[in-house]
Amino acid sequence: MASLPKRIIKETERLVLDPVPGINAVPHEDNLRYFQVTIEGPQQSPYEDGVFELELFLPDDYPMEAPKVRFLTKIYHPNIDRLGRICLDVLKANWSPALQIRTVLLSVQALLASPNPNDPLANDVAEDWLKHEDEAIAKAREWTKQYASRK
Amino acid sequence: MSKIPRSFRLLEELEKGEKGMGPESCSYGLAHSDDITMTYWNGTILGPPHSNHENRIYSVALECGEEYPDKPPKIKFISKINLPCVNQTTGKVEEDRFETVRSWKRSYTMETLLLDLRKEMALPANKKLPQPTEGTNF
Amino acid sequence: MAYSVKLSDYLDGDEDSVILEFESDSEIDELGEVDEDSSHSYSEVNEFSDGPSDKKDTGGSRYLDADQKKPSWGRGLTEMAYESSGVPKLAYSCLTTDQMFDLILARLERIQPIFEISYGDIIVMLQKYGWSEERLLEDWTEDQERVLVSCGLKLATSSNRSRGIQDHSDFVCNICCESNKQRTFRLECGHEYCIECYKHYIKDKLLEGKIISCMSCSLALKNPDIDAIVGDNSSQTLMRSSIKGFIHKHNNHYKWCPFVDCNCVIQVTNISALSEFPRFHLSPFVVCNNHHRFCFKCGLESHAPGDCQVAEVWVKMAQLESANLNWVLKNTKECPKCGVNIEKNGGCNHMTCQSCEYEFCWICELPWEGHGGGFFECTRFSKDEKNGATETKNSLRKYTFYYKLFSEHENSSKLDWALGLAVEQKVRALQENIGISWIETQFLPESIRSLIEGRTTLKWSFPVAFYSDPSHNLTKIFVDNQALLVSAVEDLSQLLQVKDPHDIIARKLEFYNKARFVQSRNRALSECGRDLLCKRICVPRG
Repeated sequence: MASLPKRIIKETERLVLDPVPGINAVPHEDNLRYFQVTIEGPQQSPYEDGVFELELFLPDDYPMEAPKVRFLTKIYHPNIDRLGRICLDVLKANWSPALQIRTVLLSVQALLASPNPNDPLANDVAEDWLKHEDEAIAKAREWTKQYASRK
Repeated sequence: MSKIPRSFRLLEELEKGEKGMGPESCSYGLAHSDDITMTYWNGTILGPPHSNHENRIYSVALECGEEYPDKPPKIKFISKINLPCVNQTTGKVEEDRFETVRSWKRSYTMETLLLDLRKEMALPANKKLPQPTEGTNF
Repeated sequence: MAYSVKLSDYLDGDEDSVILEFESDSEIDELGEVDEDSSHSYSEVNEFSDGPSDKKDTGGSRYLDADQKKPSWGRGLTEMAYESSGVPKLAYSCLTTDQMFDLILARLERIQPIFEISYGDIIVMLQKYGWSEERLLEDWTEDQERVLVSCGLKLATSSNRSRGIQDHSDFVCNICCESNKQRTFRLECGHEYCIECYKHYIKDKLLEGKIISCMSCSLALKNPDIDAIVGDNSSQTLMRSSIKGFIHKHNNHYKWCPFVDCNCVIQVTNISALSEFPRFHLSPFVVCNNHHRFCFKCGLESHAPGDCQVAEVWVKMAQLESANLNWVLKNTKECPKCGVNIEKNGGCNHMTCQSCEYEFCWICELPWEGHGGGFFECTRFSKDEKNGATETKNSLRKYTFYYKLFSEHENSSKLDWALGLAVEQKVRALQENIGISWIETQFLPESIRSLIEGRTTLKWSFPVAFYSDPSHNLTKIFVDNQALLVSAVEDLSQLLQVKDPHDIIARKLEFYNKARFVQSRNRALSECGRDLLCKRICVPRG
């Protein structure tokens, strides 16, 4: 395999030595650009007590190009679709090479804490969220319990 | 070049398929839109012109296993078709009789497979093969 | 206060009217000089009638004299005028992206004295303000400092750090994490990264036409910074791509040509005329310097005789139906007689099999005999074909029939386009081999233009026919007109297959007459279609 850029080596080291609370990211042994990620649901959110699995990949052009991130755990959230794709500005137009894996994952965690149904990726979920917020939050809790329980 | 993992590769293919590839040829999409593992896919192939397949739409089922794209997907025709590489009782595309699968490369996609199957139908040796009634399934 | 009174000249309360005024004087003269061809006046001939329509007149003779078309492919400006009948006319010009950028600069020239900063910086500010000069000027008069900071042109707090390229002996860049970097770049914010990373970062963004800011904050890179980092006058590229935002903001006046890989911009100078078109069931068609004709309103290719509504409903229907009924636009067919594959390589529908010499019509595959005259089975939907099938099946069949004709003509016009390129070569051959002057060869490009326009009108006449009441007499007249145009177009298309330069010159008059005939048939069909729409005999419904 082509040698890994220093930037990726450094970020990986720091993720291991100085982990972000509630976030865990470990590269796959056979592909050091491909990370297995878990994010704990933020407290006081419908995702509280849940542990969500994600995958993250650093494309060839990283850090000029944003990392690719996807949820592997089913989640009921207006900005995350049924395939786990995430609608988040820093993963798209607002990506900057000065951002890092760590900052991206923090943004994902923040998205769990404050869903934004006005800029939806999963339209049906966003509609529920805007119309019957209580029910939507209850459903998000239920899904968290069902799919994201600590093993 | 870094190796793009299975799921991100499949997401790329999905997005391409969703955007469409023009009115002709082939299309494909997830069999179940909430299949987070992205394993089961449906494809359609438009029969090539000037063959007995002209104006027919063939449905195929594709299965992208854990090792995709290192290993090719399994393909099975849903619509009945008479083609040497297709098992006539199950509809399965026989790996050793279809060159694209036999010499699979990581850079190949589901689109490659569908378009190559279409080429297979248009081969001089195959294009005039008698075909089962349109609309029948395996 | 006195300042703001002076400003009112620039503060466009009604932006459109200001632009109109601005663009209708100085600029046209300036830009008109750039394109030599643009001095030809060109009027949208096809779609305009000069009086109440006479249904019986299917010969189109009354249109012949009204022809104002100049025999040239290229064209630019049109005069701003209304025809006697009150039918609107569009005044427009075609600009290249460079001309477009010059136009923006000329525009900035008027407001630059207010800002007293560089054009590049004004463009940055306008980008931030979505190209609304009004909002920018408003904020600027209120608080210059705040505008500069919000646009990233100035740091909120003063800094004594210098801006620009720095030299080091051992710098660790936080982007690539490599050490031993010698050359770096930073703005006053102090976010400093190696020159290689900055280069890569900027190059990716040059074509986006948006503000390029520091990698860590919103402080903007100015043109001299960009050139210092990347070199090669890269800021020019960025400035040129910024016209995208400008056109987006002013899309009443400017539109990109929708044809693939065409970078022409059409500027309409009398946009008030635009609102007049729908009333007449006309569409504001424009032609770019690459001879692409499109509708300024809906952005589709020329769709006469249909109006924008016919086009919209038809396209929507085609998109829905094409999923169920797979019509493949074909380039090859088997000879109906001997089965040999025949490739259609010109637009003409009169096919002759190379193998058995069977002559047939590409569309219906019936013998060509009978097509040359007045009878065109292949443009008619024969009602006799229905034999008691259900209503929906019939309507689908009817649609299928019309769609097939539509797509066949679409394919033919694509091939005619290729033919046009071949004709250009013929013209050059004529000039070089026989020593004929450029002006004398212009009948060829004129013929090809007539052919393509005729084909496009034919194509869009099928949606009109589809949505028309088939029992009405005018619909029948329309179908007859279609047949006449088909005949005229096929005739001309065949003539254009002639390859020998001497032969071409010898038949110059024939070219001229046939092209003229296509033009007049085209106008007659367009007018007849418009009549169907005006009289509500043709009602597009989704």
